[in-house]
Amino acid sequence: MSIPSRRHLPLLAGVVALAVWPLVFSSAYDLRVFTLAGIYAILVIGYQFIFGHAGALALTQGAFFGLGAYITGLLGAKLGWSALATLPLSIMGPMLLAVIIAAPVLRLETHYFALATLGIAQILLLVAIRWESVTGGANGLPGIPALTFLDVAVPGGLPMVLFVWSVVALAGLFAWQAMRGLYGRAFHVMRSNELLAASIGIDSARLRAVAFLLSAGFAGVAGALYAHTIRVVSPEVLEFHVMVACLSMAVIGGRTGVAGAILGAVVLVHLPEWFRGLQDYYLIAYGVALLAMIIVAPEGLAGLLGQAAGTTPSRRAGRIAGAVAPATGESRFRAEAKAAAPLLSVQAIGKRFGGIQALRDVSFDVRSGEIVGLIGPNGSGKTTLINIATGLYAADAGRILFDGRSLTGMRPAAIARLGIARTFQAVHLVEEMLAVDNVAVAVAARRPLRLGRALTRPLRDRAMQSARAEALAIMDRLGIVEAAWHRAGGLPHGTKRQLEIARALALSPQLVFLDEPAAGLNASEQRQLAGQLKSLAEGGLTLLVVEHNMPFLMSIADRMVCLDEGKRIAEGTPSEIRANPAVLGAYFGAASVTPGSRQ
Amino acid sequence: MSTVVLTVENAVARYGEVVALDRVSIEVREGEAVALLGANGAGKSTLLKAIIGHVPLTAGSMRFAGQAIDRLAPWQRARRGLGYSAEGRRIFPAMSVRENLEVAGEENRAERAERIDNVFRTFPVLRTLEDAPGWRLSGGQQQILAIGRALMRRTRLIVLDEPSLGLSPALVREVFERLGELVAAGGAVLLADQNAAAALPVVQRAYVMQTGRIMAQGGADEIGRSGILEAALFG
Repeated sequence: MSIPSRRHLPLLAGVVALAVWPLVFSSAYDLRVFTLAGIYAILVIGYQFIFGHAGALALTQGAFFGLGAYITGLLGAKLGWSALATLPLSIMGPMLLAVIIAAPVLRLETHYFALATLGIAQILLLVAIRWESVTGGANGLPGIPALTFLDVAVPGGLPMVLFVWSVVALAGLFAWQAMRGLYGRAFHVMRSNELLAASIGIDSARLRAVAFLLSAGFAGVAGALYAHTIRVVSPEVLEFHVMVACLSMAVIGGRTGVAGAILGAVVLVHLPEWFRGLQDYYLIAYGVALLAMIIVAPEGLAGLLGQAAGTTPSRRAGRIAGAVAPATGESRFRAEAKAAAPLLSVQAIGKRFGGIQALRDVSFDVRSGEIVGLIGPNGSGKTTLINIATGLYAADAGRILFDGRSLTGMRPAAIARLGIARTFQAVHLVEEMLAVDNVAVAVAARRPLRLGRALTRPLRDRAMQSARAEALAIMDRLGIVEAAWHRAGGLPHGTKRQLEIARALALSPQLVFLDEPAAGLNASEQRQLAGQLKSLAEGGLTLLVVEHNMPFLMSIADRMVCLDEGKRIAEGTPSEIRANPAVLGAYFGAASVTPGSRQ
Repeated sequence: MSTVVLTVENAVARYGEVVALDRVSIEVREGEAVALLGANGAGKSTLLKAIIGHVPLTAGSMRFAGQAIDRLAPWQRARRGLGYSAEGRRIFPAMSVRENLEVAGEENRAERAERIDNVFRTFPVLRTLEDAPGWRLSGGQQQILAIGRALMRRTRLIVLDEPSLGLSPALVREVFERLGELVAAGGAVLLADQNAAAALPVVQRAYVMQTGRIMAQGGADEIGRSGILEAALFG
């Protein structure tokens, strides 16, 4: 670990402030408010998994919190169980609920997802109010014992503050450890672009489910601690304002960082206290203060403080670059050229969207080490074909074989791991992430990403280092290594395009689909790219290139396939394609090649 | 010589760092139909969008009906008589044919009715479908409706993006015949189309675009015969 540098200052100052706070403001009331702030911090650290890292607006966090509180309340007050039993159950209860609702709910799209999760929270609230015999109805359950472990009670006041904040520290450590490495970056890719995540083998559904479970578990902890602090649980814990508070804290503190969660919780829990002197006007002042914070710090307070301390990745660049020597890596392509059998075999593919036949009986082969150009006018079905081959769409007819194996029914992430990579027509990069990490995530995603592995990484994250080293080697081969330690969003267009190719290569693919790789490149960049693609193919990589820039494509393609209105109308070498009247006809209308036949 | 309706001079447009239009200059006169030809990504649609005000120019200037329009919002340009039909037609499927026309019309009820009548006279097929919802129309009928909608204001220039896209050859012929009639009646048309074979017979002049530039221009016959299109595609 390096010596604390300037960028650690805000963090250190924050920790010191948190430690001094309860000692200075030690009235019983202050301590109770501070305990609540800690409980909310745990709730928000949990909520950041689903809302911040996974980027899904779940409105269940309040419900999970309430459920945790009720489990502790019921088992503690009615049955007199010890916290040693009730705390784990308060964690497992919400997680179980999360498992039950994850399957139907997590697949929904943004606003439907938010509404569905809100509905679940409302159902729990109704149950708590109506099921009086168990929950005590609107009056709730009084008489919850103090937190007790094996006869050792944690009394209210300072001991409870210390206990809760120790849990905050543990929760924060857990979240930080889980998300600081490649696992967290995979989440970043997923929330910025799910299509892209799938294309590099990231199983978004799984990541989102894990995040949802973690959120539920953390909310359960917070709920249980809340019940032990307040000693009563009533339907109030399930009401929407808990969810609103949690959401506000995450937005105001910061969506992803642990420091942001703590900052958001501490500030928002204390804000009403600070404004209490304003009496009737306090709600207005509270609202204005919230609004001001959102305007001043749209990335959250933690982001604002980080900026003030000058935490920019490029400052760190030199250090990390020194630590990771660019590997001299040889080509890792699993290119076992089976000369006879085609690597990719498209067989009678048909696809219909509503009334439009996007692809009709399209067949062609791509052999190992070949560069095949796929051309055709707008709407001829090129991208649709790539989307079918990469698993984004299902074909209505026909099949695609990769290395003799049918891709039908396979998920995009699985196809990517099989060795098929792609780039996109428009640049799809995670702009805020370092260029090298855009590639390193794809290196990491070759193996399924597991939370357990992320949690057991040593402080010096070797997996991260080796993924970055490999990423650097690939970027070096494409001549863009000097861009590695810059944010991807700030790079020139040509470099971004090459970075996308580097990311595709990071999957160690056998086959890469390139969707308009030359778009927007100037003449010299095009020449450079053409040379690189040719040398990749010589190294055994197989390329299927969709491109409108014919001079570029014809300079690299071994063969070309032309589609028109979903049908394959021509196939051959570039010169054959050039001489084929059907190709010019597809682009400019049938009669344009036989001048004079018009009129 | 007839009046110039539209002048574009040295227009430059960028998408981020990608130059989509590179010093493009064109001109359209009254009573003239002009085609923009070229392969995908040549910049045809971008040029049309720049003209109607959906894509800002980073350099160059545009004049329409004698006035600079560079700083006008799209709706202001429309009010000055610039009609536009986007690629993919974009009619309102849940509205009837008449309603599709009405929403684009003048505020004055009488004037609007007169315009609709006019459109129906130009495109009799629309009158027979007056109450049919948009989604019931065939692709060609939808395209005609989209053109009709662009004529609902006093239009001095009608701008069409890919009017032939997705239409059968017979429908393409019909759509272009109607356009020819409009031009004969003194209107002006600027259309971008990949289907040069369909567009060339109905226009007087054409510009051929390649990677954001005008690589050739000339009379329709000349462009059709000279092999310029082949060069535009294959370089």
